[in-house]
Amino acid sequence: MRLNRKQQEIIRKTAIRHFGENVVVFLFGSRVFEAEKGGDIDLLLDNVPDKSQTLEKKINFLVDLKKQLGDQRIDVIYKNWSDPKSGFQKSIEKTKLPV
Amino acid sequence: MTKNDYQDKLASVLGTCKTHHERMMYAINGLENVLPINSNNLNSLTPDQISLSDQMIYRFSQLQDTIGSKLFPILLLGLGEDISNMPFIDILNKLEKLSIIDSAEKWFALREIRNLVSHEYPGNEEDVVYGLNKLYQKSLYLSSLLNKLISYINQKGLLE
Repeated sequence: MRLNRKQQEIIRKTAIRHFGENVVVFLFGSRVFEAEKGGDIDLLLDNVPDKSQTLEKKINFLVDLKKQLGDQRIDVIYKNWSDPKSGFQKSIEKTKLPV
Repeated sequence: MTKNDYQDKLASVLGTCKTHHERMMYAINGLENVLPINSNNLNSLTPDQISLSDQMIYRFSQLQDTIGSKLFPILLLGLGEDISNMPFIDILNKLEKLSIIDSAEKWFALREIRNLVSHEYPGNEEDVVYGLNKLYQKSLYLSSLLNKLISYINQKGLLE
């Protein structure tokens, strides 16, 4: 994956601070592939309780994350499917990597 | 860039900001009976009120983007700053130093709200209520920021 160890640690710790210690963070999208260049950081958050899957928490998490990682495109989605239904969800499940 | 070219460009950017601002405030004024919103009145919005809330989101988004990507840089240019290749965070830090914005962090938070509300709306009910109210609150901040920028530009005589 194209995130260094320090970036991964920042993402993990920030996610735990905002969503609790059970949160599991995955990277998906172009950053998964070593051969590609640039691209957004696409994050999938798993194991976030339903009541915490809010816009407010996502905004606070993103602001906190960008403060530490610098100003760049970061997209965050909550995993709220058990079986992937759409093509988008299936492709995430197929290529995601734990952070 | 000659002084005339600079002033034309600044006037044009300011004109765009003022149009977005005027239409954003028109939408907010039209929604004054329902803002801040709650889940009860969210479900009883009339089609006209729904259009106004879409207009508020759209104009907020455009205003925030135009101020950040066009007005901030051209203002610094007028103050003699070399902004070519300057990262956005440095632009914000300079504006913070000049006391034009409260903090770079607050601007980033504003941008995050704009991105998420304009891209993810409509989401679930709780998020729509949160997003609309947050945007409403930040619209007022954006409005006062634009007025502050206009006063600053006048005070520095950048259009004279």
